[in-house]
Amino acid sequence: MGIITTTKSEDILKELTQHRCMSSVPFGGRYRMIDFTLSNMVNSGIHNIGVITSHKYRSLMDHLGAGKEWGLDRKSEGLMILPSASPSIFKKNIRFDLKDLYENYEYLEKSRQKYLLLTGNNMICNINYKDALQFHLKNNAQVTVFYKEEICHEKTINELGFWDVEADGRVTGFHLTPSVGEKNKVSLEMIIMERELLMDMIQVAHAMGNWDLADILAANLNDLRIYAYQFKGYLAKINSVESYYKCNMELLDPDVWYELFFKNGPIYTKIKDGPPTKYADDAKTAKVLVGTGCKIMGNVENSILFRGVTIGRGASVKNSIIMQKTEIEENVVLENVILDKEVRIRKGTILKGGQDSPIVIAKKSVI
Amino acid sequence: MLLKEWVAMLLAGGQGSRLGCLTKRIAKPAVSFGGKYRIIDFSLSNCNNSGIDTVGVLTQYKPLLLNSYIGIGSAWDLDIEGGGVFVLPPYVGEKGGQWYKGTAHAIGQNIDFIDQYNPQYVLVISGDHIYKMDYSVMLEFHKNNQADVTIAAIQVPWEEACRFGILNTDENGRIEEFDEKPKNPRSNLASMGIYIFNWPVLKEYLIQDSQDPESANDFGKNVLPKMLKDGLRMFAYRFQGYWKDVGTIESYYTANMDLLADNPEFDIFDENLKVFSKSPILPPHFIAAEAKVKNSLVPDGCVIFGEVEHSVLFPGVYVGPGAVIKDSILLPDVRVEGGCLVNRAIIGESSVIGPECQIGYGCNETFNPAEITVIGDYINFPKGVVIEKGSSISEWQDGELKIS
Repeated sequence: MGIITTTKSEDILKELTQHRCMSSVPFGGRYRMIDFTLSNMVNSGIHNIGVITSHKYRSLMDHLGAGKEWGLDRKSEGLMILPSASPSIFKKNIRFDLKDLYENYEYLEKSRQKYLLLTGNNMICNINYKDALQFHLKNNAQVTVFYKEEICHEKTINELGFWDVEADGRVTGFHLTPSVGEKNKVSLEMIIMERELLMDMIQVAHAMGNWDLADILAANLNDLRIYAYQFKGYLAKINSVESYYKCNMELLDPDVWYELFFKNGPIYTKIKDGPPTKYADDAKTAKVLVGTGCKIMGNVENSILFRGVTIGRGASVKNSIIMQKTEIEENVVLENVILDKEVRIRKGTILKGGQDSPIVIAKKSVI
Repeated sequence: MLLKEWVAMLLAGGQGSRLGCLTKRIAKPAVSFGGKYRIIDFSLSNCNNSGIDTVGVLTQYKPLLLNSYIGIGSAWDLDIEGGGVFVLPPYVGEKGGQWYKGTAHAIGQNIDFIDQYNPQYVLVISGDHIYKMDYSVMLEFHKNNQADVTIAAIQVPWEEACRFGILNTDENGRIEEFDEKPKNPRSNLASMGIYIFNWPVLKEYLIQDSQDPESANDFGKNVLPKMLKDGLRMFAYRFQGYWKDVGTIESYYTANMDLLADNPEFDIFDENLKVFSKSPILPPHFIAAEAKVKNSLVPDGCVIFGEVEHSVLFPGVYVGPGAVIKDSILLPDVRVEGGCLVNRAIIGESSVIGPECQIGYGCNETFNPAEITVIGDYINFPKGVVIEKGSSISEWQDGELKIS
């Protein structure tokens, strides 16, 4: 079974998470963040999935529905929406909040699966969890965490944390700051363990009053057999507007596009039945990812267009992310911007953001 | 018994033989159209948009893809408790069975199916046409006229009237005469093959018709003329809007190309009477830095490195670097490798065109329907094959062409 939790701090995407939670932030031309985690689980044979919703979850509920698109609209099991213990708390400092799970303890009790996969909601990758479970079983581990090796250039605190891992995969330490210029093992915020072990931990957390699972694991490195599974594929970590922008742009590399959308299985999402995108006679496009139902009459370069976007004649869009049903009128010039859904940019407007600091325009704005 | 106001019966058993290699493997209603649809999507979407929740789909010719495509009708929101989409193939009974001999025979064999719902009215439609229509308006018309039968009709150009079943009516729209493909038409009001019947009336005539050994068991040829002769109240419902039979390669090609106009007569972008379809699970399409795409329709899952101009692409199409696609239709999952030239061609599903092939070689600038090249489904061309304009390739083995 799988459980998808909410992220520690959900306002890191500023305007983009003004009206929605991290899980339902649009990504990659037609998806929402949660599509990747949900699809990975389904493609790995997990069909009993709980999704914790803490706040601003209307758009997430709208997106997930009964879970039909992921094949999760089942008579038994399937998709289960789990209300958070602390609804409407905007700033969470806990990575894996066991209080949310305590609140839904009955769901854990009733589930029949032996193993449980717990994940966050701001990592995007195409991963096969079956391999990870094999790794878990082979090592006779009690807990398996996931990591990816990355060279860190700055000694900044990363809220994800880093694991120290022995050659045999055993975890020996956990810290929040990386070693500069070296390979660090970044936590993917994914954990495999037995369902009953998690239930025990929830009881312990309840007794102790410390609800952060990451703390509990870090404090019990010697007593628990914790192993770390290395993920070697493409990983997008979304923890700021800058990383959101950068990771979307990375999809314009066909190799990344292919890996993320096809490698271990397809990525499912809510279907909208839009018509194909229409390119006019004077459309010019170079290096773009485009959803369905767009009408393109202007120039678009190095950008991502979601469904139903209109680009007017003479408009020029560069290095930008344009979300659903946004309308760019004639002769508009856009560079390094992120436009949320249903924005309208009036004729002749010029908007240019910095190369690494894109301008973000909130949903339904008219400029 | 449960009473339903109306059910729809969709005739989807036709081969569509004039579509050549496009219907070699699949029935005409399953042929792809308009960048992401299959022809049957339009009729099924119309049913949904008209508030019909029970549709019987009559299949006969090569129904495999059609069966799996329709499924339980969830793509059209027709997976409804108490209704739904039902695929109805011919079957055997205790005295043996028969293939569907004609349109009326097909419905007649499924009287029991319709009786389950005990409807007041039965709508008979086909899965062969491209159009958007709210059948509930036609039903209102039918009721207001206290009609036994209503036939949807459209005005066609006079010079084409001789190709259709023409309805001659009085000033109230009551049908006085049928003219099946008349040499000298008295009217240009053509039957669209869309009928609403009062079910008890239709049932009686279907039983009668099935007992007549002389009958071809066809609505247009036998049942409707008989009804008219018997003085039933039959009315023509005038439909205004786009309606196209895509029964030939030429009409199929031009109907697809019509969608590329700036303000097309048939607008798939129009949210009013939306067209639903079964969407494949594919990512947004990708257009590379060196690619050029102009005046074209491109759906999800396409990857384009070459040039595409005035063309309709379907989901999952790949166009390699340096390839040039012009005035063409590439059906789902077609792969055109680098350096190919494709001109005024229709390339069937999942076909692979190897590097540096030329398809539609020798096309003139001005459009001539005889120059449309058609490549069937699952054809695999190696490097450098040249196919002359106007060819129709249904099989390709060991470098030998089989021209159909």
